[in-house]
Amino acid sequence: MTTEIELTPTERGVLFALMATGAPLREAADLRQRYRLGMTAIHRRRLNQFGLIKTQKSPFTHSLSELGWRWVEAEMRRPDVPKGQTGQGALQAVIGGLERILSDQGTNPRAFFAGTAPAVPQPEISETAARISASEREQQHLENAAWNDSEEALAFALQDVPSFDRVLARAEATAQTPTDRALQQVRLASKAVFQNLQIACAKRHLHTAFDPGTDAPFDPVYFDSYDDPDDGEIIIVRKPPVVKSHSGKEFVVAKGVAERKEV
Amino acid sequence: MVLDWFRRLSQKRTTDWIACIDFGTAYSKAAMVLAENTTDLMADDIKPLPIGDGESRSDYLLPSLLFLTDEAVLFGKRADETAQRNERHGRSVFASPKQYLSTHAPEHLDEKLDSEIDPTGTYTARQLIALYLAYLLKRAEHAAEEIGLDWPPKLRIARPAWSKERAEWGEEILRHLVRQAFLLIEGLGDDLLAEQGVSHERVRAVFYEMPEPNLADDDDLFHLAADGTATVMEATAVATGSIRPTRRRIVVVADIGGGTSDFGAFMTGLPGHKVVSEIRGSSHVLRQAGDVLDMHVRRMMLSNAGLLQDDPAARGPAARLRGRQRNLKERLFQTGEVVEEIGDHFFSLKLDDFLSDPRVQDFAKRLNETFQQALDSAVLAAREFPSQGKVTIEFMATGGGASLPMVQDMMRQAKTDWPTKMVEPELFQDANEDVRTVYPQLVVAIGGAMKDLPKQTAPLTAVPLAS
Repeated sequence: MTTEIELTPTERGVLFALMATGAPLREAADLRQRYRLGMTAIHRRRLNQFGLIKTQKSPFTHSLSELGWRWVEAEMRRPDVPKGQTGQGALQAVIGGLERILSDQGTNPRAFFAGTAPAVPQPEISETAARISASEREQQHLENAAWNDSEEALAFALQDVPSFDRVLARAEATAQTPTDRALQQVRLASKAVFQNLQIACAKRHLHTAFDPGTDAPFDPVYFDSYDDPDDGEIIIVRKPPVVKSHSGKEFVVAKGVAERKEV
Repeated sequence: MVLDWFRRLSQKRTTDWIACIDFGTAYSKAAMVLAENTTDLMADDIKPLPIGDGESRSDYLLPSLLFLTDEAVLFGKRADETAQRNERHGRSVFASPKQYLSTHAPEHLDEKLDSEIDPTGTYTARQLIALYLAYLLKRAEHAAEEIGLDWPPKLRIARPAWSKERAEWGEEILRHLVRQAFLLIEGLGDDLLAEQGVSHERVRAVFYEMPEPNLADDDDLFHLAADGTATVMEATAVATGSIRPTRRRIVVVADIGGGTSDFGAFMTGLPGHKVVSEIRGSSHVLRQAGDVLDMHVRRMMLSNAGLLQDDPAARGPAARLRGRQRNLKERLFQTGEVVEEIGDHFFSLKLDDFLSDPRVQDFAKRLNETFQQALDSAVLAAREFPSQGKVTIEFMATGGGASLPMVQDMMRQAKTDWPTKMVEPELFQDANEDVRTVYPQLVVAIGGAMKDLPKQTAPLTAVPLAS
């Protein structure tokens, strides 16, 4: 099967990402933003034409079809590396290694990634070790909860950085001289503050999901809008949503602002 | 294999721990506390349950809602997001079981719900609350196991201050709902936690097949208080979790939440008698709290931006401000001014302007009046239960609104000639910073799970102040 369908690195990446998560993924928020896979309408059409993915609209969300699962399973067993595809060698090495482990355990890759594979018997752990582990988990929950309010404030601040840049750019545009020293200092001072803000956010797994000014499909979970776009309609991001990855899921901490594109 | 519907209901329960469920308006919480005397408890004997792990940003907060699609009942994060995607299409989430029990007539509980909430037209509010409770208890079971605790312990359920009639009805209903919830867990099992929710077909089949929940004794299922109740009033739970009975003390507790402000006065025993009693007749509730201030912050910010709240142009900005209102209020009160971007410009609101607004002042006035009623009962008790010397009445503010300026003013400017002072909730001194940060939002669940709940004092009579 691998020789029958030769895919681009992006298309291969999409299929492996769908395999690895074992769940449907949104084209914009997950595949493009989170996994940095530059999936376009051309890739979407090709993967659908080959019958490798199933796609739902509003927003575009993809999952592996039966054929798609058979393709990734075949690729896991592929002995060679696809020709002319930089960086695919490492990926091929990882999935090949994974395939050998799952094969030794008699575990189906589909069940493994969907999280429905029977648990592999683990060596018994002592009661003390179990207690320490429970205590560590308890502490972890406590720390996460204690950070909750601070993270919201961090997210709002991170979201407002582009607004500050925009207002400052406006001031620079109307400045007396293009190299107004005072304004230059304002920009540098703000950069010093914002850089640390961005680092603090990254350490708490907070990140913006879309860049301001870019196009994105409208989803009311991610965006507020002042002009009521339809679900899935392509809008312009005015303020980026800030999301947090936590417990394997993505939570919107600060909704972005979307604006309809002029027709 | 024949399903043992009563397995969880009749299961032997650990008596070492007590659990309390706090149905919050927006989020529900649960905690387990070692069944020891309050004064002997250490920080490590108190275990908030991470029932919200993976369902909300805080591991201890579980969204108090469920959403019905055409195919399934959804819970948690999935329900919240699906609701957001569907509310513009005329669909509503079934939110806040507590509010439902507080505001609807008893007979409404068994009526079919509006099609906005239930497009299938088959569910009653009672069934949805039982389903939510089953989901919550199932998550609590997982959370307890994850942190190494035996489940189930005996339960208590926190409730708002209700009228006597509603409290009696609510007690009976909540006990029945808990029993139903345990049966639903047997019937639905891990499907309750499935990402895609539970299909209506399956839920209906379980409701159809489910026997009447009448096996376990209430005494086995619940940790009953001295008056035989399984429910504990929220203000009482707060007092239990916040007052150390070290000597004779009289404490007026103001629990300022989002939707309600609960007041109550409590008295501790003489030295050597480590008990907390609720002063009879001191419990009062104002059905306004922090949410009212959120609304006024929003109104004044929109006004500063030149927008009228009922104007279509204000709909978007108003929704956006609503999403940030807790943060806006916090910034306003902590820094004296809040600045926010509305449309393409930044606008500010100053604290002085906010506090001098007539509608904000009206809320402060109602707060003062309700607090004064609880204080009057405390003064009566201080006169009737003498101690060595004149006991000082203590004021303690808890809940999300404890630090609001009008709450602090309310306590500072209380009208009484009795000696008073303001105190902080007494947290566990050996607790780390994280515990102290998280504790205030969980204090109802924690206090409600403590063994020594306050009993009511004898009726008070007005006696003249001894000169």
